[in-house]
Amino acid sequence: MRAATKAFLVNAVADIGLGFGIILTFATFGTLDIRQIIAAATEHSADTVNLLSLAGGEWHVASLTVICFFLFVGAMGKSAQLPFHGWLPSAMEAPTPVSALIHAATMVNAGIYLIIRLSPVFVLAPSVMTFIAVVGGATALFAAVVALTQTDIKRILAFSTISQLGFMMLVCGVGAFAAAVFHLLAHGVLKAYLFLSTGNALKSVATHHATHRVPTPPWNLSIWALVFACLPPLILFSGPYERLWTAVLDQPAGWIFFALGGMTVFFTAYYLFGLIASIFQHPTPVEWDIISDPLDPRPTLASPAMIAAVAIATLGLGAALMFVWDRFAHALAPVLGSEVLVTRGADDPAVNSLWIIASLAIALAGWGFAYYLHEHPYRPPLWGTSLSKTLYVLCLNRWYADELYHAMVVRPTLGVARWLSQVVEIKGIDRMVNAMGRLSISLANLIWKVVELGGINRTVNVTGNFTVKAACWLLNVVEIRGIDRAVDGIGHQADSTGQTLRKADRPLIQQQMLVMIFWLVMAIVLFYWIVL
Amino acid sequence: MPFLSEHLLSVIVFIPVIGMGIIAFIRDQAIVLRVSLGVTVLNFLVSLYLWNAFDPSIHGMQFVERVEWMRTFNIHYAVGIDGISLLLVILTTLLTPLCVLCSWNNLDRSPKAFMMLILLMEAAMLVVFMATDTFLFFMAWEITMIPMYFMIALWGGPGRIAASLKFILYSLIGSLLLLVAILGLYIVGGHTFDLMELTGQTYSPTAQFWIFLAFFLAFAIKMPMVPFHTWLPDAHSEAPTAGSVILAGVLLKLGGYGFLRFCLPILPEASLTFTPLILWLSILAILYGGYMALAQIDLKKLIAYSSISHMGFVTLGIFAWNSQGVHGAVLQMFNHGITTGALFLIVGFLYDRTHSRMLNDYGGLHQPMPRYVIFLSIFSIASFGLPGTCNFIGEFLVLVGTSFQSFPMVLLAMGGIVLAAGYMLWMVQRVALGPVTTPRNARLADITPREMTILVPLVVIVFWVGLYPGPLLETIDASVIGIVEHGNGVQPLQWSQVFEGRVP
Repeated sequence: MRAATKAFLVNAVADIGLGFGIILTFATFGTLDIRQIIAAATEHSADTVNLLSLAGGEWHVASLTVICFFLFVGAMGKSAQLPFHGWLPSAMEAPTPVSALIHAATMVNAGIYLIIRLSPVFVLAPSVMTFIAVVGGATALFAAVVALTQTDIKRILAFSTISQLGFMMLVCGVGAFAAAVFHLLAHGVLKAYLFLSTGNALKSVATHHATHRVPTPPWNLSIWALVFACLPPLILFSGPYERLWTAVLDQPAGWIFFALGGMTVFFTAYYLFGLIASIFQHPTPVEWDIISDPLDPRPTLASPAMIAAVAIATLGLGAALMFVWDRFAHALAPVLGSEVLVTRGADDPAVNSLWIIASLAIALAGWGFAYYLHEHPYRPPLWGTSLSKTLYVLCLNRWYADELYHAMVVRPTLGVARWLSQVVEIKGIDRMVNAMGRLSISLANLIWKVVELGGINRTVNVTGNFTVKAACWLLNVVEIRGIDRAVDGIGHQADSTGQTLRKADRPLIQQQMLVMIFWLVMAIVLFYWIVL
Repeated sequence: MPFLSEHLLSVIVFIPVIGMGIIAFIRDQAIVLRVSLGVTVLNFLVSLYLWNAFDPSIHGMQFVERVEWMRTFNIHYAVGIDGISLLLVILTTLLTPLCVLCSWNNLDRSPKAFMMLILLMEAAMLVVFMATDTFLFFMAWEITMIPMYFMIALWGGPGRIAASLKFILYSLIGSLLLLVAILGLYIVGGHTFDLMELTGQTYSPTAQFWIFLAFFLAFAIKMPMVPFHTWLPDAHSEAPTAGSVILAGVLLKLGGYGFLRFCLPILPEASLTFTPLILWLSILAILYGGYMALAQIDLKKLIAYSSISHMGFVTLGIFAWNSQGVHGAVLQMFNHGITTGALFLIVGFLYDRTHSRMLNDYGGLHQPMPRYVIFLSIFSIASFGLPGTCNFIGEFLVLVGTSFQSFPMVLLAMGGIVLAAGYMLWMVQRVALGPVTTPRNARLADITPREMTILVPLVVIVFWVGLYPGPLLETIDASVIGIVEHGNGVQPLQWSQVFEGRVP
C-alpha cells in the first residue's frame, strides 16, 4: 500500500523530467514524431539555450543537451537509477511473483528503451552520455554491494535488477547501444525466469527469508531451475561485454567504467552465489531446532549433477552466444545511433575472445570468492574492523535511502503543507479576511454611531427641528396675517373644522409636509444655481 | 418544428424554467423528483441535439437570437454560442440531472424547493454561457448566486450559515466589480451592451487598464485564484452534494469563461500587460492549492483545494494565450467539471452513509464496499491527470502552451501535478486501503444502482476524453483559434499612456 504510493510518487517526480523533456522537444523540433526528431536532430545540434536567462546571467547550453538530460531523468525514474531507486525494492513486496515479474523484467526496461530509441539524439549530447554512464555505473555498483547484504530473496533480486539496469545504463552511456539491447533482453528473460522460480521456491520453502529455513527439503525442480539460472557463465554474464570493454578502454576515463563494470560483475556473481547457497546446506550461524533433525536430506552444492550442468552450459552457451551476438548487432545497427567512443578492434575475433574470457574470469572469481566465504563462513577477510562493520550496516539498511527520503522529502513536504494550511491559510489569509470582515463591521458600527447617529441624524434632526420651527413661525405669520383672515371670511363651519384638524394633526401632517416643501424648494434652487 | 429549431438556445434555457413552473404546482414529493429528473434529462438530450446541429468550422456565434428587451438603454435578450460555450453548456446540462439524482433521498427538508433551485441554477448558468449581451450576462451571473446561497444556507452542513455568508459576500464583491466593468464598457464602447460590437472596437489604454482590472478581479474571485479563494473551501465543504457538484462543476467555470469571452478578445492589450502577473498567480494557485490539499483532513475541503490547484491550470492555459494553451484550458474546464464533480458525488455518497467528512473516520473501505473504491480510485487517478484519463490531455496541452512563455513555469506547474498525485493517492490510501478501522465502517453498504447510474456515465467520459479527445477539440477548435488570433501583433500597454488618460 505504502509501496504502491511510493512507486507512483517517485515515478511522478521523475516524470516531471520526462514530461519537461518532451515539452522541450516539442519546443525545439516542433513535432513529437520520433522519426522526425531523429531525422532533424543533427540540424538542431548547434542550437543553444541560455539557462540563466531568468536570473539575467549567461550560460549557453546546447538545447539537445538539455532535452537529453531531462529525458534521461525520466528514464532514471522508470529504470530505478540511483536517486530514484527506492521504489523498486518496495514494489517487489508485491504479493504475487507475477507482479514482481512485470516490475523487474519488463516495466523497468522502459527507461533503457527510451534512451536506446532516441540514441541518435543522445549521441549528439556527449556530456549527457557521460552523465548516463556515471549514473549507471554508480547504480550498478551500489545496488550490487547492497544486494550482498540483504537477507530477503525478493529484495536481493530487486537490487540485482537495479544493479543490472545500472549496468545497461553504463553500456548505453559509453555508446554500446546494441550491447544494451542484448543485455536488456537477456536480463528480462533471466529475471522473469528467476522470479517465477523464486515464487515456486518460496512456496516450497514457505518463507521469504533466505537464511531462515524450514524443515521442508527444497529438493525439487524449482530449486534446480533457480540454480541453473543463477550460475555465472550463463547468459547474464557472458553477454556482449566485450563490446563494452573495447569501447571504454580507449579513453583514460574509460578505465573507471571498466573498473565499475568489472566490480559489478564480481559482486553479482558473489551475491547470486550467496542467494543459492543459502537455500542449500551450510553451517548455520543460528541454532534452529530443525538442524537437529537427522533425516533432513538437504542437498549439498557440489553434487555431480550440478558440475555437469555447469560444464555443459558454459561450453554450449558461450559458443552459441558469440555467434548470436554478431548477428544481433548487425541486425540492430541501422536503427541505433553511432557510438560515441571509438571502438578499436571491436571486430577482431581475437580481441573479442580475450575480453569475453576476461569477463568470465571476473565472474568466476566472484563465484569462487563467494564459494570460499561459503566454505569458511567465520573467517571472511577484512571482517571485524569497525569500518567494515559500518559499511555492512550501511549496506544492510540500503544506505538509509528510504529513511533519508522520508526525512528529507516526504516529511518536509507534509510539514510545509501543514504549515501553509495552518499558518498561512488559516492564520494568515483566512484570519485576514475575517479581520477585514470584523473591521468593516466595527467600522460600520463606528460610522453608525459617530457619523450616522451623531452626525447625519443629528444634523437631520437639527435641520428638521429648525425647519419645523421656521415653518411654524411662517405658518403663524401666514395664518395670522393671511389665511386665518380669509378663512374667517369663508365661514364659521369651515373655520372650526380647520382649527380642529390643525390642532389634531399639526405634528403629523403639516410639519412633515412643510419640511418636504422646504427642502424641495431648496433643491430646486440649488439645481438652478448649479445648472444655469 | 422550424420554430423550435430556430430558437434552440431559448428552448434549452426555458425548459428548466418551465420545469420550475410545473413542479411548483405538484404536491407529491416523489413526482416532484421524477419531473425534475425528466426535465433535466430532456434538456441534456436537447443540448446533445444542439451539439449535433452545431457547425464547428465557424468561429463566430451560431444559433443567434436577438430580441429587444429594454429599448431605452439598448438592452437585448441576445443569445448565441460558439464552440467554447457549447462545451460548457453540455457540461451544465450533463451535470444537472446527476445532481437531481444524487439528491434523490438525502434531502432533510423540502425537496421541491431544492429542485426548483437546481432548475433555476441551471437556467441561469446556461444563460451566462449563451449570452451575447453583457447586461443579460450580468443578470444571469447574479442569478446564479442566489440559488447557490440558499442551497448552502438551507441544506448545508453544520457551518452552513457562515459559509453561505462568506460565499455571498465574496460573490457580491465580484459581481459589483463585474457591473462596474460592464458599465465602463458601455460608456467607452458607444452605449451598447452587444458583445460582438464591443469586441470589434479598440479602447484607450486608460480605459482598458481599469476595465480589465475590474473584470479580472470579478473573474478571479469566481475562479478562484489564490489570494481570493477562501470562500471556496468553506462553501464546498458545507454545501450539500448537489451544491458542491454544481459549484465545482459549473460555477467555477464562469470565471474562466469570462476571461475567454471578455478579457482576451475585448481588452487584448491590457490582457497582455497583465499576463506575467496572472501566469505567476496561476503557478502560485497550482502549488499553493496542492499544498493545502495535502494538509487537509476533511475530504470535501481536500477536493475543494484540489479544485483551486486545477483551476490554476485553466488560467495558466488561458493566459499562455496560444493555440495549445487555450485548447488545453477549455478542455481542462470541461475535464475538471467531470472529475471534480464526480469526486464530490462520490464523497457525497459516503457522507450520506456516515455523515462524516473526516478522513480519520475512514479506512479500509475496500472490504465493505469494493465497487465504491473502484470508482473512487478511477476519479482520483483521473483527477491528477494520469495519461489515458481526461485531465491528462488538458494539463499536457496547457503545459505545452506555457512552454512557449516560460520553461521555469512549466517545471513548477509539473511540481503541482506531483503534489496532486501525492494528495489524491494518499487520500485513497487513507480512505480505502489497509485494514478496516472501525466496526461501523465494516457494515457500510456498497454502491446502490442509483449511485451506479450516476457514476458510470462520468467514468465513460473520463476515459473517452482521455483516449479520444478529438470530438471535443474539434468542437472548440475554431473558437479557440479566433480568440488566439485576437492576440496576434498586440503590444502591451505603456504605463505612461495608462496614467495620462482620464479615467472613464
